[in-house]
Amino acid sequence: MTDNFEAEILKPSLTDMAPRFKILAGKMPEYVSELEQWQAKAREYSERIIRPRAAEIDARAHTDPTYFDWEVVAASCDYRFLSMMVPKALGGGGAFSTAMAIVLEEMCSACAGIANIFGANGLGVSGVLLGFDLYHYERTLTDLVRGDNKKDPVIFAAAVTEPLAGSDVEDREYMARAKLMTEAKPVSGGYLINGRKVFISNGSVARWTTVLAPLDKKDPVDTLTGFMIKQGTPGFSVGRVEEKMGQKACPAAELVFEDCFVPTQSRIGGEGEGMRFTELVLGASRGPVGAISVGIARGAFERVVEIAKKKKIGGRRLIDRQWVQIRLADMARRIAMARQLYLDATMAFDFEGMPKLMDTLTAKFAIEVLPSFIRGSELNRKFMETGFGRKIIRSLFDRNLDEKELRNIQQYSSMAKVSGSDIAVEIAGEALQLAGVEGALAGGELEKIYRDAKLTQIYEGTNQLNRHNIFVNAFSGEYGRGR
Amino acid sequence: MDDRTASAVEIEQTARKFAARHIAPLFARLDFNSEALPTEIFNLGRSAGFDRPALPESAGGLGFTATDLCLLVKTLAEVCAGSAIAFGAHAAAINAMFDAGAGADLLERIISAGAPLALALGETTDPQFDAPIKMVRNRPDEVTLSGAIPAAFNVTQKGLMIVFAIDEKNEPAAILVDLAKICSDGCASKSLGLRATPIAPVVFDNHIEPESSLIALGEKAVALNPIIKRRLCLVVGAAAAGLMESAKRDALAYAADRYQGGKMIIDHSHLRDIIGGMSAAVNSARGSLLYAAANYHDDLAVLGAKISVTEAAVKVCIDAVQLLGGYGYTREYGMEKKMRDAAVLALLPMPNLYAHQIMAAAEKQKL
Repeated sequence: MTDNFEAEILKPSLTDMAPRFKILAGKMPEYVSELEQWQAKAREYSERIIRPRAAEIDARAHTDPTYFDWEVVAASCDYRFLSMMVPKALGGGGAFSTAMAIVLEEMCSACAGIANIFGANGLGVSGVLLGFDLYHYERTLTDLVRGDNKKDPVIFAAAVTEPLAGSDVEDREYMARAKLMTEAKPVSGGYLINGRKVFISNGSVARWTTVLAPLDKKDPVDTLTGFMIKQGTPGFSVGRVEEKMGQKACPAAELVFEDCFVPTQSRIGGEGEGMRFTELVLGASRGPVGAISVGIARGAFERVVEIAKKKKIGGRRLIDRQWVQIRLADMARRIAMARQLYLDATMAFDFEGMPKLMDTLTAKFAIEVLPSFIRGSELNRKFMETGFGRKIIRSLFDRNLDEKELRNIQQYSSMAKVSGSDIAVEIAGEALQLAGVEGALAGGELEKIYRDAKLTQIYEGTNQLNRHNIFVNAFSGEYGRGR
Repeated sequence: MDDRTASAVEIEQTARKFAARHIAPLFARLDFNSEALPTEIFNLGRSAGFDRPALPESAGGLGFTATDLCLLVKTLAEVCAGSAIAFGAHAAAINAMFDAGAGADLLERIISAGAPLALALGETTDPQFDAPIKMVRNRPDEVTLSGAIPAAFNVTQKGLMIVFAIDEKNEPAAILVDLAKICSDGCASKSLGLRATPIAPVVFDNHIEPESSLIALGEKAVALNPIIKRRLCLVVGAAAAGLMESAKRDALAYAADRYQGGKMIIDHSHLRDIIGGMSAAVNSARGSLLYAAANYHDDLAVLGAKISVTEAAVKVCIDAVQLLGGYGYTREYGMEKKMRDAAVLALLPMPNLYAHQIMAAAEKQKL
């Protein structure tokens, strides 16, 4: 601890956040150093760019939910957050889940809505990364890098949720009985997609959207397939943009597919691999949602400490009152607890998930050695379509990704998401209570944080669905789904 | 078996009709645009006696008991909590002032103002410490006010406001202030919820009011503050009870209609866990409120009801949004408004956490 204790509590360094980083700094200095750099960049971007504009953007998006502030996103290009997860060999940041999570915590302490633009982008990018589809690596991920290079941001989205199927599309057992609207019917040369997706974060502004649709609605689990669809594709349009209570800076849009033809090249991975793919992506993304929640909670905590230092009741400052000190201590404790949980989840992913596969010689060869024109070629795509090509990919996954470890990742991720989001909603409410009636006024930031916090209990699978996952993973499927 | 009294049934029916006819068509717009309850609607309510229902009939009121007032506010709050508070806070303050012996002229001035009474009461019960406004008598027939109130509620451009101040001798004073003179540019500010009852900062820049605007001085002012707050706590509790009742009802309707995981949401036992909790909260809130209304002179009963009912409302509304999933988070379904309104109710007339301290002090005094 330094003399600047208050700064440590409010804006902790990486090593102050978690003792594990102090230990790891000795054993894996490069890993920790990179995380510290991402944290520093995110903190600077949040304080310099996000925080001064957050209230204004929230107000504008309240009046016009389609409003999207390209300026604030373009200002991120120098920091390269949008392409941070693209492999280094392709010009990206080569970062994984923990880095993304740390960046999101910083951004969310300033504004969860703006942060979610990057979070949802990361979800869309994960959809491509985790499929290990080199053709799409070349075709779409490099677009992100070019966007950052030219300061003309490119954004991704992931379209999973449907009007009548929310939790249903995120769970294998529920999916079997889901009332789906969207279907990708195989036709000559590709697929014809019809249907709707709803509440898609970044949906109205994404250049590339990962879309999951079954080839046959009557058998969604075994035919669910992923597609990369570009903005402007005929038959693909944006419907309504929702008027949300919070996180307004990130639009949640309806996506409409009307006889939308997508060529075979648009498919990610093989036919019917979508459900497995969804599970991998959600396992990777729920930890960072825990980080989003921790950032929101931390933002509430930071602001209420500032208020407590100034506001007097009964002639004394709030912060000088014992009951307030205990409440603040409890907030700090819960934030630290939720942070450890998301770090467990994201580091489990970093060391036992997809990055482990990316570290193999085969993967390194494919990404770092193979020329880009081969990776992105029609020849490569067709080769990967063959039985032999699919066998190579499956073998890569089978040999490097342990099922038990993947279940652990899912377990930690769900726990991180549930704990973080519950804590964020609790702390946002308590902060309002401490601040008093003026805390409810717009412009004071706390009321916005309260509105923003609630969404974390709902997206990326409701907390109820995530609790289901926790049970199933804890008991290794020993018990059937409860009634 | 319906064991409500005939008058309770009549109050509910009248309030329900009024809310359906006058409040339901516009509350969503008021909330979206952060607009106060229109004075036309407030005056329609006045004609029905909603602005002073708890005053005796001899004083121009409806002779409502505290329980009746709670029922009125609760029923209005089932449609819009902000609108209910606009009436309820006004009625509670008038009633409190009547109980405290305020002059007929003063009461008449408030009643005929034609706008909800705004309130800046401070967050504890001790105006000596918490009054940010300084009052000076530069002339015998005038008082001059300076300072800023961080958040008063029911603030409209046309109405009156009760403010607590400290004079040159460090004596507390309660004054009735004309908002039209202060808020010519508009005082309204956007808040998290209860937007029909605008919460706004109010600045007094050497603002002059006639001496006749003084409601109470010294010990009388110190005594008036908690009297108003006690009535307000009841009204806030009643609004919270109405709000959570409607949140529960709407959440149940959705859960009975939405299919997930192979069956209706209402048939998933883990969601019934949540629904059961909501039902318990809503049903027990009624009991808490009725007890507090029957014992409205008892600080502990009234504060206890305000704390427990508003906390329950916050939880019920958060759970209700959760049951609706993504739809609960959007404006279209109206549930997110309820969640925001509940959070602000838990701050009025003081935050529940501050109220804990007040209650503990009251408990100690009783020992």
